[in-house]
Amino acid sequence: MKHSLERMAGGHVVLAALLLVLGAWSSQGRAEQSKSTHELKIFKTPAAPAAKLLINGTADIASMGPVIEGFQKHHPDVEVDYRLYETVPLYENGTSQEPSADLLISSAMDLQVKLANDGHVQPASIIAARGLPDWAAWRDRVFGFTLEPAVIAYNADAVPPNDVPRSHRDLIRLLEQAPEKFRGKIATYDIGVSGVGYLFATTESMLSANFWRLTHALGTVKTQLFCCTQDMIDSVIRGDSVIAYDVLGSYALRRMEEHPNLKVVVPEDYVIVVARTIVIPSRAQHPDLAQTFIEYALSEAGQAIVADSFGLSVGGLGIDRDQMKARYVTEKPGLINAPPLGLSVLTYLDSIKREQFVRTWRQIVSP
Amino acid sequence: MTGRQKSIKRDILLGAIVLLALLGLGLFAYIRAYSLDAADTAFDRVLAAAALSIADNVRVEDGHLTVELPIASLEILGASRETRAFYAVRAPDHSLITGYPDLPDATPAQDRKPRFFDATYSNDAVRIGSVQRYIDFGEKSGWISVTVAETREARTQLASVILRNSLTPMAVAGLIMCFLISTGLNRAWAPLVALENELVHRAPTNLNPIQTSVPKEVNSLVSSLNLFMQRFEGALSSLRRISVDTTHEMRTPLASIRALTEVAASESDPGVLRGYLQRIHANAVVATRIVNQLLAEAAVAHHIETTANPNCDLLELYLQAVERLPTSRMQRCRLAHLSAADDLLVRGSPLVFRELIDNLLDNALNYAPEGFIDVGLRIADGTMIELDVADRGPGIPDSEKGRVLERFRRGAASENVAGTGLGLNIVRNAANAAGGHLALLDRPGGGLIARVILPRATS
Repeated sequence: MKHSLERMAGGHVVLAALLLVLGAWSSQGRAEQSKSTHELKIFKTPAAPAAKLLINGTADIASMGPVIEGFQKHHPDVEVDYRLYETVPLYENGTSQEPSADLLISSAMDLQVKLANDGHVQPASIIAARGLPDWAAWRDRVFGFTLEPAVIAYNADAVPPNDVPRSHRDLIRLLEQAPEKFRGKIATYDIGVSGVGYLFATTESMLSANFWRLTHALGTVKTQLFCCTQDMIDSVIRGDSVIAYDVLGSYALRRMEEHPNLKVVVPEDYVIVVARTIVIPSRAQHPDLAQTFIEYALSEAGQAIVADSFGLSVGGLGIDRDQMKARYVTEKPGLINAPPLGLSVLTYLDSIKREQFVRTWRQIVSP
Repeated sequence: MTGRQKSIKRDILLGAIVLLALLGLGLFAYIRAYSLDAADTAFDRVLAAAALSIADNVRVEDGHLTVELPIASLEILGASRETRAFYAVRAPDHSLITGYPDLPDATPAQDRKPRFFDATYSNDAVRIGSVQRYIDFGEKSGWISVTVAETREARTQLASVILRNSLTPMAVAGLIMCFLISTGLNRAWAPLVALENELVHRAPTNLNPIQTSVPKEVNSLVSSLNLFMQRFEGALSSLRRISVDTTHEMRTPLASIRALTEVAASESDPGVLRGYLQRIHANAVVATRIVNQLLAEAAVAHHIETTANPNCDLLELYLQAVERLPTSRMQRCRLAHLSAADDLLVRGSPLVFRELIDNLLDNALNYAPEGFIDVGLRIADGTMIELDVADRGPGIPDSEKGRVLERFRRGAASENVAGTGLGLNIVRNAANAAGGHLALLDRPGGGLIARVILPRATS
């Protein structure tokens, strides 16, 4: 019965489930979020720490905190120092010759793959990673532990219900019909600055024939470009922007609790999903401890916290992995799109290719 | 079976195992080299495809060389999800257009043929494929080079899969071969074991042919064994028969002697006593003859069964036989016919021929108590020798000629002659043993010709 219903509803069931989980999450209280980069948060131990784990990450402390605290419940004698980075500096930090952190967590999975490919990452034998789908793990080096959908956020005070874009097509039509109305009021990633923004854009450019039309529409309305999701959300809340395109779902949903004017749409035509990935750099000081942390983050207990804290875990939607895989692969392949975690992402990271893509994109978006 | 003793089974098994192991080692080395080569060949094509697809996307834009990296170029290398990949695109002056600046490049060659070599990069063994492409843009025209490298994980994996999949059936085949050799050896040994069991478990006196059914390969062994046992049984039974006959034949004269001595003991008349003594003597003579003839028969039988056969000169044997006779008898023998040839050689035991001649002469002298015994020795047909002993005795009627050859059978004319009935039987047996035969013929003018025909031996 349930099965046939899902069949009838097709891919929308997945979408509904996604919304449901995101909605359920958004009703829970969340701590203040920090947005300044290179901010350091030390998760102290009750007694003198027996070991110290250094994590550099792009996930904000409010999202990452519960996961780290959950880890410390199992390992109470480990102090964890978490330092906040942007994706590109985090990558550069990974390639430097200086002693680095024990773990690098980034939403720019392509940069993480490049780190691993270029030999800056050491292998880890993670029992819990066995059976992860291809887009969630690469070799024994890159491990995805969250799912991050790219969503559209908007200010409900500024956008009448009829104008709310439900899909990428809606957004294009909206912007093309009334460019004057949205002039300077649209926010999106500056893909030349943001690693995850670039990843979203390249994945969409391969996926959708309308990508460059949308880019053009963004250009006509003089879209404002931001480095980070937090800044885009802030802008929408303030009312400086009315629609933010391609923001990370987890941030947007968190902010909705305090700001009722902030709303989120998961596009109906396709959703780009990236996995937040975790690697152990070659020059990690405590690789064994780092491995223990990954094992925890992918464990059932860890995934429950991740699902709660980030909205989605790779384990996904609070259901088991096989079921999720079956849904993604069989019900509506193509609806939810994760960039492949593998060598193909390296092509878009090629300096010339990247430069050309970013140049073309910028010429269209901010002529 | 002691440890020092040689075991064919162990030798063959050991040899086979050593041979198979050597073969296996050779095959392992060969297939290993082959599998690495095969894996390299297969993956090199992919590497070349990646490099060529990149090379085809190099173009000139605003007077600068630039390249649009095709997504598939690196994606096909990542299909195994195991390898890491690196690339470098260089201008004709070897300056980097894009990619990894320190990636080793092939020695420049000005054609599009892909080149492959091994190197170490990023702390790993890598396979590098390199292609060149000529690009024309004025002064800077020249060969651009595209280098693509991948780590060896997928190749090693494919090679080990090939190696495993080829070696597994071979290892199984080897084990099956060892098993087959082992069972084959056991099968081959089984008839011998069965034979041994039969021989061990049979009664010591049982000399019957072996009944166990055996494969044809062992048939000749069993036949030889059976033949040997048959000969042994023959010798044994004739000896047994002779000893039984001896006791049987000796009973009568011994009983007579005993009775006569008892009667003589109470006789006082010297005349009568002399008569008893003469009869006792006659019986003793009979007993002596019987013993002698039986011993002769035993000797003949024994020699027929056991002795190797040299060549014997029949004439010389005859002359020796005559010399052994008492003078009165010797004088009655005369050589009536003698072949012109001087080599009257026959093959057989000298003792057997001696007994043959002795018995022939004895028989003739006994049954024809007067007159000469005519002996003839001649070559017939070139291949046979005839020995005739002719007498003027009563002869043997045709009806008895077959019978007198049997043991202890004597002709009707022999009632007054001391004898055992063994003489002609010994002659016949001896003649048969030498490959010849005995014929009894009527002598023209009365008497008997005993003719022994023997095959002539070549000197």
